[in-house]
Amino acid sequence: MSRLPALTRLALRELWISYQLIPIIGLPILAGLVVSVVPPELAGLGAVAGAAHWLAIGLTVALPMAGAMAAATLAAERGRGTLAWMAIRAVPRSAVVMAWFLAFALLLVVGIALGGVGTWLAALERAEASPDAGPFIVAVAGTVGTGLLMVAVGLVIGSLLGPRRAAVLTALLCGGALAATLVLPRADHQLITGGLAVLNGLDGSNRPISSVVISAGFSLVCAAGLLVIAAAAIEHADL
Amino acid sequence: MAPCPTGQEPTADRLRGGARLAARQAPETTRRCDLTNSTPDALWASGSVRLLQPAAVICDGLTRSMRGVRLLDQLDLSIRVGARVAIVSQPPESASLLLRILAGLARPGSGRIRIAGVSRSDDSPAGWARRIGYVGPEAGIYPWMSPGEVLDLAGTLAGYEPEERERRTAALADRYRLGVRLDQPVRRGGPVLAERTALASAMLTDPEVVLLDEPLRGAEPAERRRLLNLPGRRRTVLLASRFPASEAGIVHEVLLLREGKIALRASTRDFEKHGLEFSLRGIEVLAESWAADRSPAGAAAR
Repeated sequence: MSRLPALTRLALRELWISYQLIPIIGLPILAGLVVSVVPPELAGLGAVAGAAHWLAIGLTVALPMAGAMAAATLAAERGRGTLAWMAIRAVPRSAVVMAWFLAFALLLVVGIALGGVGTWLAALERAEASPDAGPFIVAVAGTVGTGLLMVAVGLVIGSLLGPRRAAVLTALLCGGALAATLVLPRADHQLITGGLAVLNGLDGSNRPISSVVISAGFSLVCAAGLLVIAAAAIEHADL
Repeated sequence: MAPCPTGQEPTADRLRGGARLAARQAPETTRRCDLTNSTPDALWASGSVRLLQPAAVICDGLTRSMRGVRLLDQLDLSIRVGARVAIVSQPPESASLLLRILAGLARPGSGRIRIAGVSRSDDSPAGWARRIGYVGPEAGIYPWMSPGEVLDLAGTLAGYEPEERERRTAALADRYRLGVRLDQPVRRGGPVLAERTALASAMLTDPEVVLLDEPLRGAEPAERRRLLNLPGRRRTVLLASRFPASEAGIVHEVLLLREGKIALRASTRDFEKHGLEFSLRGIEVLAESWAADRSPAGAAAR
């Protein structure tokens, strides 16, 4: 794992040169920008809760896209022989999976944070009184857990299928799970979709911070488990 | 008996293992070479390795099927140090699969391998990675990287200090004529530059065993021959090829795999002896005569 920083830098550079970095960071930011033009009243909510609701909807599109890109990227790494090039140099295959996870995680953190700032500024503009930033910040931070879960799902599928199939399957699977957040009662899906569920229903949450901590923690544990599965799948794959 | 520092089996055991495998090897031409597979690290680094001629590559009962086709069937193989072997196979995937198994990129269904005295379990940069060079049909490098960056990354992953990386990069850039394009993205030079860079990066660690799977197909024949005539008399080269005629002058030995088993193992001199061309047709003709010689009727006639 001592080569992990070098591999992560390489993954980030590959994402930058292949223009994938732009949507990974850009889509969450775009979700935050959309909030500024969509009135919160449209969702029948207050300034902060309405803005959080629209941000959650934006992230429902952005996060599965990030997962799909992670799936396609790892599958492409296998297909074009770059993973084999690493493996022949005694780079553990699991380190390559981990490096891609870290690269996507880093970009998602930046994207979601910037999207959250944009949303908060839009909410502040509309709020009559100074709102409490705590629950909102925690809920946005919790969506990072959801994003990491999506990326881990993508890496598992990318370690098994070809780039196109992996991307489509991940987008459908993750998109479906997150879309359920918007439809189903929160208690049913909160653990699966992590902080996004809390962000979506910020107004109705009695204890948003503890809910986010529990759901984001659950997401991270699931992501870790999926990473182990992805590493095992790559370890046993023919390159 | 104390274990070897590299984690290898004790010498006597490995000697017995080598003798067992050598006894199972049929070809007359190679029996002499399978002296032992007992090869401590120091021996690989010394000149005596050429005198002792230990087995650089040992496959013991390798079996692997893919999509219901048995590509390797209980394959026992021993290749001596310094050998340059073309591997031709029917179906062609067998040779490629064998090299990928030897490189650790694919797993055998059963059987074991040992390369340059180490098993795949020695997964350290100083162990397996420095001893083996592999170049596949795909260059396997990011097209936006320059040859210089690829070589530097290969050196970093191998654990070399910056000065050593620079020295090796300069030497390889000279040999593989990467100099002018050393700092340009590989994609600008096309697939030939990518293949050259891949070969150069495989040679960076000065590996004892080089596995080449249909390499440099885009290069001019004369240039290809120059590049694939890898320096080092102790270096063992295994080259999987669908067009063996193009490997004349690069290899000294040919191995034909048919349905996962060795159907022919001959030196290039055997072709001259039989007045055959070193080509796919010539290999098939020689394989027929080899099979006839090995049949009970052929043995009785002899």
